Amino acid sequence: MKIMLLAAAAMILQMFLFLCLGSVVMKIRGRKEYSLSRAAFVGYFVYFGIFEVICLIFEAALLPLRTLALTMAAVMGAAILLGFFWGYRSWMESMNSLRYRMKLHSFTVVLMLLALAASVAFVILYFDASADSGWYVGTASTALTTNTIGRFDPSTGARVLRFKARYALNAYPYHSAVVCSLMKGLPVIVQARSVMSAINVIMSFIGVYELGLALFPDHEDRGRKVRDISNRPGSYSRRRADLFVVFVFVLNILSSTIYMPGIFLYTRSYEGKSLIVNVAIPAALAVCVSLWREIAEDPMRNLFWIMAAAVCFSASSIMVLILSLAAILPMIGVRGKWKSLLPLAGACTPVLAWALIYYLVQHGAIVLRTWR
Amino acid sequence: MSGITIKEYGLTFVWAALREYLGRSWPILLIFAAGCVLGIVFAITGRKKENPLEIVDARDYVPGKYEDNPLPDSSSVTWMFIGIVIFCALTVMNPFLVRVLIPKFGMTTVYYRFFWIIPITFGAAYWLTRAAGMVKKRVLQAGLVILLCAGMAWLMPLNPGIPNVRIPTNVYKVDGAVPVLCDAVHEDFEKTQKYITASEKLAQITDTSSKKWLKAVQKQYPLCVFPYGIEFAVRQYDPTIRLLFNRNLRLFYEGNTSTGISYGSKNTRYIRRKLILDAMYGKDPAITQEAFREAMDKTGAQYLIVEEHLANGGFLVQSGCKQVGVVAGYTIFKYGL
Repeated sequence: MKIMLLAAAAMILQMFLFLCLGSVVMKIRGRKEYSLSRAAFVGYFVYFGIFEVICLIFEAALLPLRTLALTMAAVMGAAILLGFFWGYRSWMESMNSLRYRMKLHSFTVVLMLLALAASVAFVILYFDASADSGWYVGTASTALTTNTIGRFDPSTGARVLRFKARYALNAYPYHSAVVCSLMKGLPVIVQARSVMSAINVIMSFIGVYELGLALFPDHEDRGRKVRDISNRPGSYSRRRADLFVVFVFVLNILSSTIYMPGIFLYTRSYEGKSLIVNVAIPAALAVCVSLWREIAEDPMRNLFWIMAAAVCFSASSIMVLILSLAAILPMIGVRGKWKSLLPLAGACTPVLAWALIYYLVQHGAIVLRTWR
Repeated sequence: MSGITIKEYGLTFVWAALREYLGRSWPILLIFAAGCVLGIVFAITGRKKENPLEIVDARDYVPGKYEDNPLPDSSSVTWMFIGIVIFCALTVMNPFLVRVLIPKFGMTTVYYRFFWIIPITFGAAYWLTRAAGMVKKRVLQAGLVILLCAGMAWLMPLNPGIPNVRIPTNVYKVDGAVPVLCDAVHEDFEKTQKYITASEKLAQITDTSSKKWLKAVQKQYPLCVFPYGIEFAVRQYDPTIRLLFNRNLRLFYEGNTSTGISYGSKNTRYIRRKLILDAMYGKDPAITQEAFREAMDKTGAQYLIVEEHLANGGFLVQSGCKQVGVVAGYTIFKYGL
């Protein structure tokens, strides 16, 4: 019972952290369109982008996990404080307008929320003992027990003499170890397999919803008259986005092979690969759609953080890079927006930097030892 | 992707991989492709319409506002999907490039991840939403949504993870035997001289960034072999248990070649470990006690955990193992302690 309460507290705290961090980022950017889910979504990517950089520095410096945990505690504390002071008014406004905003949705919002609840319940209940879960969760539990970062093989417990580029450069599993180091009594296996699974599924749904909003923009945002589409601003977009999420949910539960996004979402939601295909890719696609539709707010900044977080999640972050190039380069070519090439290159920096370091480590140009 | 290699399939590798990727969920690709084709048709025939599938939008088109865009905004999503497909067809799904580059990067077994780039699921959901959105009356729209979902459910099988869900027996979501087995191994190991010596040695080393410290840390944990069904859960629950088999070695032993790694008869590391498992389960009567003892000594294995009804107990005890006890239906043997 105590563990379950701790797990619930960990989930609420982490969601609150993402909300606060996202609120800070949105405040800095001066974004007008604020919503709690969008702020948490932005915060999620920014957090894992920052975590990746800090964790890699600590890993290369052979510092203990506890030191990383205390550093992250300071970052989290600062984010929560700033987010609370800057975001409080926005949160209140969001809560006060909740009733009005709910009226902008149709019956499909109920279906969407039911799909979300069913998905969260499913991933909390689902368990297996796959080899990959052994690696992802084992990495976090090994780090916490030995108070090290990546210096022991998670699948055997044997010491590792050189960091392997394929695993050492993606810090996502250590987030669970950090949380458990700060929340005494919460087992890593519960944080990694149940708490993070639930958070990741919620983020996946928000990502798909954001993609839906981008795919079905409310044209009044662009100053057009759309009385025939909806009587109230925001209604058309929300209704279509709700329906879109429901269809994605249905298609995911009808994904019959072990390679499709659906199986990753429901059975491997705590793995970095799943986050690439179910969170980072819809988020990147939403940015690409909004670029094509010219309704984007800070598209390249958003893409930068998505890529930074994707590097943290998995080596498959390269897929997010290819998707972004595949979607944006034709648009730049057809519309002749050559000035966008530089910001696009900037947004791709995290994955490109990761790829460069990966290449250098794999070919022995950089030797990352686990000892001095 | 299991069973699909560039060596075997050559230029048809991408097609074979796509078929394996989709399996019986191919209607998702069909919806996506059909939507893209319809989108192009509507985009070409109705260039001035805001949303080609929603005629009502035509009245809201503002001429002159986006004249600098060669492509009308209404079809931008279609063009984006087409752009992604063409880009991928020329690069990461170009059979000629794939045949050369994918094996070089060692990505044959994980090639399916490139299909994530093409937004098949999101694209199909987009076109389904547009189709449902064509109906304005709410009741009719709800009926159409139900009809579409029912049609897809009839055409495609369920996600294989869904029928496998079961209520976990503990908060850790591991087999109930795992916690008790780990406790039993620790209880026994912590009484041994090896553990006491390792702990004392570790206490003397103050430099935690040294090689010595890493070695001393691992020495204070027992080295075990667990049954396949629970092996991958053990270190998730208790990382103070060391395992003799790493992920790839164990998967290969159990006949899973999805990692793309195989271990031949010259790989002594694998051969010794295989011998231990074969002896534990009595799979190979040709294994001698001397060969088993040599494998145990060279690998340093300390605990063997076997299902009680499958254990080759007589052979293990005669070869120098001691039975620690029977816990949760598993027999625990120790060696050299």
